[in-house]
Amino acid sequence: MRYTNRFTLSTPESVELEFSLAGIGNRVFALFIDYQVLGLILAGHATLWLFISIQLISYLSRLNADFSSLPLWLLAIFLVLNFAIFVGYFVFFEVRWQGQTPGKRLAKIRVIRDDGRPVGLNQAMLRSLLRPVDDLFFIGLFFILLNQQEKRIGDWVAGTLVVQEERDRSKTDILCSEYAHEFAQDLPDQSQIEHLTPDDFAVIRAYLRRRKAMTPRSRTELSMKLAQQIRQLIQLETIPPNLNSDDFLEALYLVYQERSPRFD
Amino acid sequence: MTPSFDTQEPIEPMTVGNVVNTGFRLYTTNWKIYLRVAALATLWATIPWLVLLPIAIFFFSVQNYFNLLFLLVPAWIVLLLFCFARYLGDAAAIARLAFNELTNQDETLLQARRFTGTRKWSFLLLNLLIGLIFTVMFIVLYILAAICIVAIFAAMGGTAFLLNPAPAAAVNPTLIVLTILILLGVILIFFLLLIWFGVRFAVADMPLAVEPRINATDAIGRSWELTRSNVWRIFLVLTVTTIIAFPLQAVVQVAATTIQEVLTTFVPPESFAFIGFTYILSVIVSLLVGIVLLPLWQAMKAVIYYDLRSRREGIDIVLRDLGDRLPPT
Repeated sequence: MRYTNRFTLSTPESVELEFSLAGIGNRVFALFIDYQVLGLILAGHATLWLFISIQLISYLSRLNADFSSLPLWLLAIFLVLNFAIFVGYFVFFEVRWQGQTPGKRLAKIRVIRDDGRPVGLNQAMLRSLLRPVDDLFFIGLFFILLNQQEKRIGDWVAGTLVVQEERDRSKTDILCSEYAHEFAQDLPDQSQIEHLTPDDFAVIRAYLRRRKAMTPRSRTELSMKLAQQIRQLIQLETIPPNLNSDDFLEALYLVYQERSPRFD
Repeated sequence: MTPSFDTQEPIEPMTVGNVVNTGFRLYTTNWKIYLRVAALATLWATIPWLVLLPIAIFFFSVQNYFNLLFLLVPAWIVLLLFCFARYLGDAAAIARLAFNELTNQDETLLQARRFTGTRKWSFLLLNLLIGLIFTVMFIVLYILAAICIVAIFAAMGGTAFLLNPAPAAAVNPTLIVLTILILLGVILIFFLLLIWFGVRFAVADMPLAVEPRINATDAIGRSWELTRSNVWRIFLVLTVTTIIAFPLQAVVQVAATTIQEVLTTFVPPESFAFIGFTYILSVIVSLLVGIVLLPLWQAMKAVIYYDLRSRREGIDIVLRDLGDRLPPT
């Protein structure tokens, strides 16, 4: 079972690109963060405007000028500016950060055009201007839930999609012990390491990357289990006495990394 | 050995948004089963109140035999606890089914309900324990916050001000603002701590729903262990789910209001029938909302629990098709 909707795109060069759509969870999460940030900005704007208005009025009253219509003007300009900030926030970030806003960056999603190109000013503008419509009675949310491409009204009009970012896989370094480095030298001669599939190595790598976040007990158990299973698979006769299961898995990782440099 | 790592789903923990996506997807693909169990669970939860109705009518109309109450009240409390336990058991069955789907285990609805049903008293005990822990926690935090507030107020010269109220203009305005800000900070910390504790117990019923040989106190310990250093991620998942649940809830509410509006054209709004009907309608609406939202929360809890176990215990780190590949011994 797939937990995200996929979207396949054929480029004119007949290359197929497949994207994971962002999904309701990521989109609401991103919007939640963006509205917190935007709320802070708007609060700052309101405070600033209030301060300016008070200064202006006290200045004008010292001049004994007639400014009875001024408060209404100040309010009107304030409201226009507020709307401009609301729309501009999304336009500014989506254009500058290639389809991302602070919230989207945190949620690891991005807006793209239907043909896969990054969004431009027009698309970002349309999406942003239609956002209030989508927010009204949560219309956008129902739109996203009810169509396969997860488009809200703004997405239909602008011709955009919201997709998940490609994962950054090279972020965590795996520290290998000295024993592991030593053992990695002998391992290919002593065992049938060819019996392991790329998937097996992906499992070993996943363990090595994620072991730090695990509870000590689970970590030991899992490490032992993987080491025993792999030892059987590659028909390794003896393991050096000073080598623990983590070292063994690190050694396997090192051997594979050496053989196929693409494996980070 | 040619590396091709894009063939399989990546072995990685989920992001906040993808946890919510997965929970939602589980619900939308299994909504028929989940809603059926949720309706059953909710039915159990309503039984004590339905029983209460004839009892109340009896005493109201007869105005006698009040001694019977000494018998009826304990019996009713037992019924309440039993029905609540059944409710918790059935609700847990939804979470169990969701977790099974995540771990590719096949189990029928009947089997799942039987498993969680036999543990209904543990679920009840678990909920009572968590309730107790929370009450104690709340009281302790409340007292601490109160002490802090009084101490800060006194330190900022509040007592002197109360004893000898100076005119407002004479008090330094920055001092007032500062005091208010600090007090707000204390209140904020109070709520953050409550949330923090709440999240640490958030998945306590999951171990009881899926793990073998475990009791209520162990389950609390498991939740405490698993949620460690993941509190704010879980909090965000719960927040996002709440936001998504809100419009779904609104749909049911709007439907109910519409029915009520339509009704006013047929029945005079002051009549007893209208008031009675409106009351019954509001009860039905809240039950419906409960039925619709229960599977969402249970599925979400199952995904959070699965994600925590993959982060903290690596349950998704498994060598594939091992049985076929091991050399004969």
